[in-house]
Amino acid sequence: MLIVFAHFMIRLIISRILTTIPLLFVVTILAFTMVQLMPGSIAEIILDAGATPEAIAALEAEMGIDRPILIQYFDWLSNALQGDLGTSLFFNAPVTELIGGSWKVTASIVLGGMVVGVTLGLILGIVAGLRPGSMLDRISTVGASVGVSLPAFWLGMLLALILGVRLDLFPVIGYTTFAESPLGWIHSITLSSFALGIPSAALIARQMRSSMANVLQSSYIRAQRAMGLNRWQIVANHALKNAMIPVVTVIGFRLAVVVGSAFIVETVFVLPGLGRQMATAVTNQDLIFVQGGVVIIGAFIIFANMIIDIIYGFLNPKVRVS
Amino acid sequence: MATLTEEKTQEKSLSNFGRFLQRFRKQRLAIVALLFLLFLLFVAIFRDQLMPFTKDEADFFSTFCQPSFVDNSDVVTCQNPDDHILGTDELGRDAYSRLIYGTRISMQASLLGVAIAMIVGLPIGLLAGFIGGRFDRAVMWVVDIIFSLPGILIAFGVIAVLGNGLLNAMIAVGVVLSTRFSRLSRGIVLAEREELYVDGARVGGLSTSTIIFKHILPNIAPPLIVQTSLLFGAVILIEAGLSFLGVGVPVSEPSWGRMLADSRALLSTNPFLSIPPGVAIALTVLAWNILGDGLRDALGRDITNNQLTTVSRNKEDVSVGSKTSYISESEAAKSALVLKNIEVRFPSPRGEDVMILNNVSYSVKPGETLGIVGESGSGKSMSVMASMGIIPSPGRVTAGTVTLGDHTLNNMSEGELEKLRGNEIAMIFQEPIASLNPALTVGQQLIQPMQKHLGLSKNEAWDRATDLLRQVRIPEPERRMDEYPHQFSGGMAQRVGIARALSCNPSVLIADEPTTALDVTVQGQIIDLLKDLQKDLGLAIVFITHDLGVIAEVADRIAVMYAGEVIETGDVHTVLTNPRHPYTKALLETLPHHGVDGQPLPVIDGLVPPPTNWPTGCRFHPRCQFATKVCSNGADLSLKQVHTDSKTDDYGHFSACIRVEEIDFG
Repeated sequence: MLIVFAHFMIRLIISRILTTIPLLFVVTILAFTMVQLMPGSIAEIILDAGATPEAIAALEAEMGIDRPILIQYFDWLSNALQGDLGTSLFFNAPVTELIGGSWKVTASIVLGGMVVGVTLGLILGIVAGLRPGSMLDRISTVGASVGVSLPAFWLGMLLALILGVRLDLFPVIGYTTFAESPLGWIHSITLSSFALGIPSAALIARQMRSSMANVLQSSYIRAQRAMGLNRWQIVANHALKNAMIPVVTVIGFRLAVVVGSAFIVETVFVLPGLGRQMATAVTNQDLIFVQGGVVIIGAFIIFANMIIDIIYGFLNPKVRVS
Repeated sequence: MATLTEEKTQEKSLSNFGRFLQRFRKQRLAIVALLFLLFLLFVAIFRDQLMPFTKDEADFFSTFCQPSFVDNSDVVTCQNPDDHILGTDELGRDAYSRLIYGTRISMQASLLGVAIAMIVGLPIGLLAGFIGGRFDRAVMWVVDIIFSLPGILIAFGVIAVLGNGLLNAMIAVGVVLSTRFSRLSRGIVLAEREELYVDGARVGGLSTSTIIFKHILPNIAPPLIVQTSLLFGAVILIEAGLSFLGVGVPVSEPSWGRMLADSRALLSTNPFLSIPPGVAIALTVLAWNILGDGLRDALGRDITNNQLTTVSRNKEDVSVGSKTSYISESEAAKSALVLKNIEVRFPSPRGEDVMILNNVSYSVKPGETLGIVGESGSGKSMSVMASMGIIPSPGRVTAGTVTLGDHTLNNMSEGELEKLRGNEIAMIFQEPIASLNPALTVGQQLIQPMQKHLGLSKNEAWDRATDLLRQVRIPEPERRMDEYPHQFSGGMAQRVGIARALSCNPSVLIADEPTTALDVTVQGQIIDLLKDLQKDLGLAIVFITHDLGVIAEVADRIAVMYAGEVIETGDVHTVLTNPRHPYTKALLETLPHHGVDGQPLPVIDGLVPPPTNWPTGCRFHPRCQFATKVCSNGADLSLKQVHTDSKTDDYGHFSACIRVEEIDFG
């Protein structure tokens, strides 16, 4: 039984890795096309408005952007694969170096936010889904509706105001790396993790609730009940795994939203993360940095989705077999 | 379950829109949300009339004002606190006026964003779904990739290319969210394409665009409306986020997001400034979400009941044995399962209590099969659920007794009932695959009840389960134990269902239309298997079906049900050859072998009435060819012994027809 199972999982993992590679290509094409779509050329931005057409043409030739577009793309791609995403126009430093310094901050609060969101969301959702229509269900449903509607960055400001400024429990600005002090690290990302996690928890709870309630209406639950299994045996052994299937998908989608919100929450807590760099780059039309950011974050999301897909296959035997 | 179908048929009589309005009216919260959004629209339109100050008007004598409803006396910089309901910022600009100003930006932005999302996304999804094939796969592949990326990231890319500005920002948001419309519309088109009427329309020579506009759009309207409402909320959140970062809406424009960004710097000096814009964003998003949920509930189905909860019997509520039953004491003593005068009620959506089962009695002896026949909605399944104590909430048993061997099930606790279920009485279901847990292997789900009831170890239970699969004639049982339900055919899955039901040696087996979903040859195999197992194990079987052909084959005795009542019961041969109730007679006449070549098959005119609308007197009288005035009065409708010329059997033959002695059943 175990061997068969392991065999299925290996096949699943390999097939998911194979489907992921073309996705990465699409992201690089999207990022590359983005720069091509810009009215005018990079050279014009670099040289400012007063530059002569000759100077622009000279710089274009130097940068190689006068060549055929496909050659440019593969040139850029091969550089990217070697870890060279170009030099930022605004920060005036290699993009990979800049992102190398900031991604850990963003990753820390995304991780914190997901931990808070998934844990809280699953617990609330299961409790509410077991007794739809009950008082507890109503309270958590209302709570979830409100939670989903809160902008993470405003929630962050409120948390900063109450737990930071007023009660002085957590730092309101700045970031401590894990290497400096693990405890300090947790301390510095707590508020942002909750700001990111609470709306996610609300969404996951909603999904879990309706999924659980739906599963509990199904025929196989009635069949197990007719066999004399009690409530908790049925929930733990039969309902939970099935109810988790759609929730896993939602958690996957939510990860992208949390990454997006993290960009904004970084600004609230003045964290030196990727999002603040991106926002600065966007306002200053630093297309090279934005391009690099899109590739890196896109790749991260695609890998994360691959892992979610594998978990999904683990839960749902129908996917695993076909 | 029967009741639900009936509710549905009843609701269908209303127009779709009328039904939607009726259900939406009950969503009070959604109506409040709708009113709030209309109010915001009003504020946005009459912005200039409502703003006491302009957005940039600086009252330099009133900077850092707290809201006027708190004490401002210690704020030295604030000289005119009463002019500023929500306070002022560091330049003395009026927070209230700026909030109103931001309302229009927020409304504009969300309308623009949703419109762009719809214009871009809908056609893509419709085309992909309609053209299908490779085009569909390629397009949806790209759509899915964009959908999976963080919206802000895409917006960053678009704004980086197009530059700042509200329109550019909303184009960005529109592009991000268009994927949701694409996915939604494509999914619905694919589903609708399967529907026959689209094929019919195609054959009829209609153009693709006519099909899309006349056939598909009306069907995607309900989910589209829900999705649009939810998207408004999403757009407002993204717009606020972009403004907060200073990307998109120009920094000089006080949108709600921008006001929050400005208040960030004043968090320790004037924290109140961060409250109104935040509340405004949250409330607006909340209103759109609640409206969306309300629309969904008004358009969708109810999930508040489940299979786990049963309303426990209220002792005072249940009258035991107040009525007499046709089942004699001696008959009851010999029986493995006896239902006496069972009454089941459900609260209807309108709040009244509806009787689903009325005075239902039947019994079955070891080694014997009782067939229960009736049209859908007659209460067949409900009666067996009552016998196991698993009537789904909010339904409940309000009268009668269930006796299972030596146990009387009335007033038993859930825990006591659990010990009997599976152990003494077990059930097989109409849809064999659906009755098995799709996420567990067959082996995993077979062993649990044995571990619980028989106290077997995991390995012992596994071995016994394998034996059981062999016993129900599943080939290669060792291998099949490790397979999932979806790898089984319907017939094989039903064998698994039978193995599960018999795993803890019950004395009573309930078979709820076990062969209805199977094709005819498999049907025969399952019936033969059940008969053999019954012979070997001495099972008492209650076999529910609407198929009189099947009943003749399996049953020793039958009970005919109509509209929640048993209307005729007796030996199967006697009842089928010599029916003594007009309903049974009419049912028999609908059998195909009664048909005359070239003539349509006879049918019983009309439908089983829904429980909310049961006729007075005999419930069959509106459809009965023999009905007279007396039938609609509350005359004696209990089951009466019928004296027939045919050989009387052990059980006797009972009919509820008032005119049983007068009618010539021929």
